[in-house]
Amino acid sequence: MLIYLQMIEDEADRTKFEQVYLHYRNLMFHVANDILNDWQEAEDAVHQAFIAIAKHIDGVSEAICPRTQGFVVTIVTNKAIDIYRAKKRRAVRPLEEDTVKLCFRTTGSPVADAIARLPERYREVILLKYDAGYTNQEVADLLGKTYESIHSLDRRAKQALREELAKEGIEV
Amino acid sequence: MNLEELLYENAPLARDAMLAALPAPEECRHEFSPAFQRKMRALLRRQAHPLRHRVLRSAAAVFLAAIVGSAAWLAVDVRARTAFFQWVEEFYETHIVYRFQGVPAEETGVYRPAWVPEGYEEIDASDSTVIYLNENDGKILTFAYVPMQDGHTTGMITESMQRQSVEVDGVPGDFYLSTDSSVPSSLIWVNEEAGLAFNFSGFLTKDEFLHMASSVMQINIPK
Repeated sequence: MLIYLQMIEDEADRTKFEQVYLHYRNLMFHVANDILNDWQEAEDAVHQAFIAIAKHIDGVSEAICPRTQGFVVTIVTNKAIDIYRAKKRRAVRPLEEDTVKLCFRTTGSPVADAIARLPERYREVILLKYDAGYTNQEVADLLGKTYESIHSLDRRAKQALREELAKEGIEV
Repeated sequence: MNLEELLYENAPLARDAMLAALPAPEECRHEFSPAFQRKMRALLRRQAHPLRHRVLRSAAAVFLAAIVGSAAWLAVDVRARTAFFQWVEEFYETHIVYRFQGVPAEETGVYRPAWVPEGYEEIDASDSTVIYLNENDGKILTFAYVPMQDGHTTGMITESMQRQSVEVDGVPGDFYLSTDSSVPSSLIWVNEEAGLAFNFSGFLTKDEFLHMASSVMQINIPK
């Protein structure tokens, strides 16, 4: 019930959600299907992603922009990986872990490249917080996790990032 | 520069690097299945209604579990409903509070109705709450349950409601028939054996409520 109290309330947000849906649904399917290699599960991931996005659409300042695109890709990747992991737990034979890897172009920035090299669970928290601008509580809600687990992931992500940067001779 | 500043500066670059490795949105094509499109229509339609207002109006039937201090309640009448005093009804001028006592099973399992009226589709669910939407008329149906645990209460606002005693498979319950067309009717019953209080709330007939209630079953076994 509470979910509805958080749902989109004004016309601008509704329009924004529809724009996000219409513009990014095919890309989101592409991302999910790359991970899951199963169109039905990929559609489930996209649907779950949109349910999460709908609850936090007010945090999206502009429907069509790189930040929003990064946001929806991060969310659908998370949902697809959740489905993938659930499938892996059910599988008689283990699935190949490396099918979950995502590609990143190098940026020329050692810090951005280090973020890109982080494990997915760390990277998604970093991107949702420091690019999309969500709080720990909002990230927890978006990813279906508790506040405590996101707080812990955030702390460990930063530690992992420090270690990555230390390899490059950068101390922070 | 500290780490926080570095993250704010570089997270957008990492995002751009991620997006650069993906095709542009307009290059992606997929024919979504009818099932997906139906679910998304329901989600989009849900956004198109002033749901907050509707849900708040539906507060008359909201099955709201809350943990409260007993001092906060000023009952004008308290009537024990069972010999074991596992739950009591507290009557107020404008609402009734169901207060639960006892220690429930550590895990209660997941319950769902096996039947819901035609036209209703599940659009959202947690373990203990399911929300259905009728795509034809935009009406919402909710199913929820809470454990009968010391300190847990649930309430029913009785304004615009006619309260009727009913039985759900031999278990006594209360049916709240709404006299306001914008407020849903509601059914509450308590399964003491399972240690759970159940509720349906929606724009349905009493027979439909009772039919749904009879079909509620546990769909997984507690660990």
